[in-house]
Amino acid sequence: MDSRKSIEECRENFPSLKRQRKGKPPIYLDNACTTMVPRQVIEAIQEYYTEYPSCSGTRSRHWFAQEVSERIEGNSGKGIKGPRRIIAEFINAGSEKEIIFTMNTTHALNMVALGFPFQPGDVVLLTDKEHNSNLLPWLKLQKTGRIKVDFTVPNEQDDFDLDAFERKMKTDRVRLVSMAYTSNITGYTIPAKEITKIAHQYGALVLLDGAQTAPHQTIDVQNLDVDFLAFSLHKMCGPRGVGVLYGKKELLGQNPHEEDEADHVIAPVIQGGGTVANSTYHYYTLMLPPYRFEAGIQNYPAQIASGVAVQYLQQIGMDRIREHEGSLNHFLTEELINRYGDTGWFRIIGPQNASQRGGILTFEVKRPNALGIAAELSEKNNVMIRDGVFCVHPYFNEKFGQEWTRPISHSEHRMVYRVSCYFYNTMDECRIFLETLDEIFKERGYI
Amino acid sequence: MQEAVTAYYQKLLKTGFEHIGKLENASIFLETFGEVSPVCGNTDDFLYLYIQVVNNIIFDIKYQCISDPITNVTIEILCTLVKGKTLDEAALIKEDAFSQFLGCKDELLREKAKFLLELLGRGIIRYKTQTA
Repeated sequence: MDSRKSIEECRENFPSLKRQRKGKPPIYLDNACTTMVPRQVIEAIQEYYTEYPSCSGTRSRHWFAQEVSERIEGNSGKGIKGPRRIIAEFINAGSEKEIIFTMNTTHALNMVALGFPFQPGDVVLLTDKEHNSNLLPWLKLQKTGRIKVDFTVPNEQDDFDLDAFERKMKTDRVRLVSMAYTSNITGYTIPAKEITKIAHQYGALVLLDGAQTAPHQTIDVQNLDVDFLAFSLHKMCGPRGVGVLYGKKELLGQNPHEEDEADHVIAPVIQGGGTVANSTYHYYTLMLPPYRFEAGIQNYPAQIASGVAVQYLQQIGMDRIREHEGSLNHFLTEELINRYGDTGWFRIIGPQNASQRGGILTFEVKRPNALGIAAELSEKNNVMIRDGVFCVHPYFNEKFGQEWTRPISHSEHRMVYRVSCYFYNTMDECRIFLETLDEIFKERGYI
Repeated sequence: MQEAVTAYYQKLLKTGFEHIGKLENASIFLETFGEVSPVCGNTDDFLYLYIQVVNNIIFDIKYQCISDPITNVTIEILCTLVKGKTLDEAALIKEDAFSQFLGCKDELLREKAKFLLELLGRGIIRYKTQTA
């Protein structure tokens, strides 16, 4: 083991993991939804509210405002690195000016959808497993007639089909490719570099929904050559209510008058305080990016704490995080397949090989009254996983049929459950999950 | 779940859920849904209950549902208890009848039974009002 923190040492940093209910600790395996928060992040938020709870120095010039600004934009003289720079380095952006703070991934994706200068007839290409956050903004635009939405289809192994994708690029008038970098159902990460290369060959830009990627693996936006990337801090040990939109500098605009920008530049959707350099009763001139996209008072404590969260992950090491999650997923996959793989009613969704699923393991239980297992796991042993369709309704409606939630026969009952690991989870926790699940299956007469 | 409830549920899994089905033109149709938040698509539990009344007697009763096992056990018992009874007799059934049916006292079973009996009671009142 190197000098970096061990998993046990990391766990010590998480107050929520030290709680007990019925004399038992929490076993939190719902990390694809939201992760736990380390003490360092909590302290950064607390420090803002305790020490300098004011606006930033872009608005006021006083002592507290200067302190807020220093913590967000950094102060090299004092050795303070701001979250914008920390995040820029984390994803290897060319400049911290390419980092826009948003409320979350959904907000960031909507900013591109609503701000992109689409022409009638433009196509936006998605995968078949997009979260509603990367589906609804496009469907809404389609309703207005501004764009057409189309989907790529995976191959038989449920992997991304680059040939099928290229065929779409050839035949459709694709202006933007907008895809989940890592699926929140299957954990599968698409070949983003190859996709971007092909998209660019056909003149399209690429937006990646990195909500399930940024917390779990290294992202290098310059190497990928991706145009936009969105992600949320609440899935990476950070505060809630803060996300990031990365955009290449040339796509964020440099002109004070948005109407004079080139036809590939996104316009700010929400405008107001903080976004303008000047305004009269008749016109306004915009600030440069990223500020033109950050309207109104910002979530300063969350922005400051987001830098702390990213540094915390860097301290552990993204490669190490990925490796640890992978080993847990391998163990869980092997155990579940050994126990229930031959039953005919248990099935892992997505690639069967755990190494393709990061820390995510989603499975279907097709047995009478398959609902309620997540609640029972929590009730029995504080094991927290997720059930439902994970905000990807179309995928399951297509796969199971529109009426799958209202079956006539008990033989058609099914439910989907998702286990998602992070670096602070342990093999022992996985074992307790497996034992508790087994107990529930036995009680229900499934085995 | 108590052992008797689990055992009964497992018996149903093996022998089949006797009252599952749908009745066209049911005299009384009742439906209820779970309270699970639909945000992000947590699919909820549901119950459709179909009752055929002939000469004031519950001639047939069927249901469709997805629920937890104990609720499904309770629904099956309800169907067994009320089938063949007059509406007035059915309306007089109490939660204790469910415990007696299984030969065990289970608080959760009692809660579920109370809920279903209230649902049935509302359906009977509505039917009587409509056919009066």
